Amino acid sequence: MTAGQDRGVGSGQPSRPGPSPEPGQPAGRGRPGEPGPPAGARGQAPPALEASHLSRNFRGLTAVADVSLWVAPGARFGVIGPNGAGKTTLFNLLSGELRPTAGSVALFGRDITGLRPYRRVALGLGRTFQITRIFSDLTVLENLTLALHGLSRSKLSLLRPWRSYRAMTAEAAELAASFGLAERLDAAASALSHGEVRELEVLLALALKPKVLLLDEPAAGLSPAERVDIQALLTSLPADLTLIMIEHDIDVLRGVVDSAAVLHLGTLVVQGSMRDIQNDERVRELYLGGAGSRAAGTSPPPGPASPEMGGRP
Amino acid sequence: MTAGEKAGPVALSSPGPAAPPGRRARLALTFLRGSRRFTAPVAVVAVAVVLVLLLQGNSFASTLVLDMLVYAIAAMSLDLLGGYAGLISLGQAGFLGVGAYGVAIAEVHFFSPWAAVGIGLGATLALGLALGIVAVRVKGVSFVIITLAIGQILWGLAFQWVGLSEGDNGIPLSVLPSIGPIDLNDPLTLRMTVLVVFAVVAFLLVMLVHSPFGLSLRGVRSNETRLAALGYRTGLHRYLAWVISVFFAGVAGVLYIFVNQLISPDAMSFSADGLIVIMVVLGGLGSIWGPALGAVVIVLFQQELSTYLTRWQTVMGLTMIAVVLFSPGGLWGIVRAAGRRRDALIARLEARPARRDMP
Repeated sequence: MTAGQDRGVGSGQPSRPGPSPEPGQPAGRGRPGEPGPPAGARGQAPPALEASHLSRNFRGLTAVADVSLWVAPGARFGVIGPNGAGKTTLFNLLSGELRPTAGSVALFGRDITGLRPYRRVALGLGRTFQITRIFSDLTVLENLTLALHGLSRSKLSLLRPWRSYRAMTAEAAELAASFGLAERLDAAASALSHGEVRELEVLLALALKPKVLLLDEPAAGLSPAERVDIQALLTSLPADLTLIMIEHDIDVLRGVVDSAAVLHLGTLVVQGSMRDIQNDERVRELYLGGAGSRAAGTSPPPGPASPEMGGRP
Repeated sequence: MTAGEKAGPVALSSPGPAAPPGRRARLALTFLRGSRRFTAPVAVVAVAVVLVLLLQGNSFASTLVLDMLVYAIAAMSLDLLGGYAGLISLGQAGFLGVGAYGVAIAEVHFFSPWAAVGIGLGATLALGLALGIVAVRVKGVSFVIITLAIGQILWGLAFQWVGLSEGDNGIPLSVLPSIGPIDLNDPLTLRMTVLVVFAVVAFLLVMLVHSPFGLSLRGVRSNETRLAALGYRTGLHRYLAWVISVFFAGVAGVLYIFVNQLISPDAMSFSADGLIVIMVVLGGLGSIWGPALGAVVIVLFQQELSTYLTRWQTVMGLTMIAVVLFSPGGLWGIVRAAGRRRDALIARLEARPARRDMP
């Protein structure tokens, strides 16, 4: 009945193509070695998302301190760090749930620091939440329809039943079907299994066809089989979608992202390709030894220009 | 309430040993399917009963029904805010009062009755637009408290601004508007007008809660942060729900003074505010028809039961506790559950012959 039982490892179903706006897109882009934007393109094309010297204090506690990121269009980018590293705070600054104490955020070269979340969404910045935020009182179909109306003027339509927007409901059903929720359209979202809820969470964000998608620990609390499903879902996303993903388990990121940033105690420890990060001594210390906190404090964060973001040759 | 409940025992007794297999089940099935189709006709009959009560000469009964309709409008519009957007307002009777006082005060100042209606509705809308800026800034308990304060301020104005509101005595309304053949001073025309306005408001609210906007209000209640992350300007949606709700409370207020031909601060008191909330909760939050049902029950308690029992509030309180304990969805929740039971029964009965046919 639940997704977990239906779609175990190797059942073949998870590898279905995602709701790509261009159905012809090859799925599964984003592994290291695949073509990304050329290194020289950085000068001309603006980055998909750029954070400059972002800081946020909570009554004297610094959650994020002077973090600068540069994510190329179409990149698969990971944000790694132990608990309390400031990953979610960083996301909230990027998506607009929180205002930064200092610094700025730019989306495709446009400064969005002062924009409220719903305005950022309209510009193509979608996000999911670590603590799942679905509409649990609504059915799956209602959840997805609500998401699809999000960027349309029809969301303020007062006297036409939402079910009569056939194109929207059909799209919602299609979206659900593409990730194995077809049978669950009329189920209350509160009745879904944990794995299905995590999928719905991603689907809600995907419904808006974002250009940049922030995923906050999409695999949190999932069983190993469900993790494989989510990984398949993520690798099947359209190639032109820029993906920025929080995860504290490096293993989940492996195979999904090509580059990453490591946060610790609110500061950027290192930013670079996955291979560089896995070989980085400071990161090893963070994850293996207890000396990480000292190392992080002293290591100067690399400037936004240093590492390469859009895949490696 | 519906046929589904009545049909329960019939269906349960169907697999009796004496009966030829399937025969009684088939009978029950026919009946149940019919009840599904006849829900609408039953509703029409109910409306016809209301009409007969309104049309007949007994002015006590018709006033009772008119009161129910007026409070049903106020309760249904509060449900849009409380049941859908999750914002329970304790100031709804205050805005009902604004609509009623608007009409009365305008007429006292020699405006024509129609202009008075416009002033009553306009005053409510303007006040709703202005106070909404403050009220929908907050949610949850804070919203309840702010609306409580707004309701009390409005009541206080009606009570103490004697120069305008004539204080405790209230303002009587002598002449009702008339246009061509429609003369609201004629009791029958007034009754029909109230019924038509009720039907229009109910229709608009039902359309509203099934629209994408209505869906967004349920989204606001369920998870506002997520809704904002989907591109919704959630504050605007809450504000619109508030303004619509307040405006319809004003409509109820205009009808209130037409029916009662007197408005006094009593209609805006804290207990009047509370009574409308009770109508909504008793009838069923988030169902539009439920609060209308709640209004019928509460007005019946208030006006009918009180003639037999001095402690009618005790009965009302006990009823309230029973409903909240046993049917969190209110009275309308009972109706819905009966409908679901009927559908489940139909499904079970339909599945039975198929099983027998299998080898």
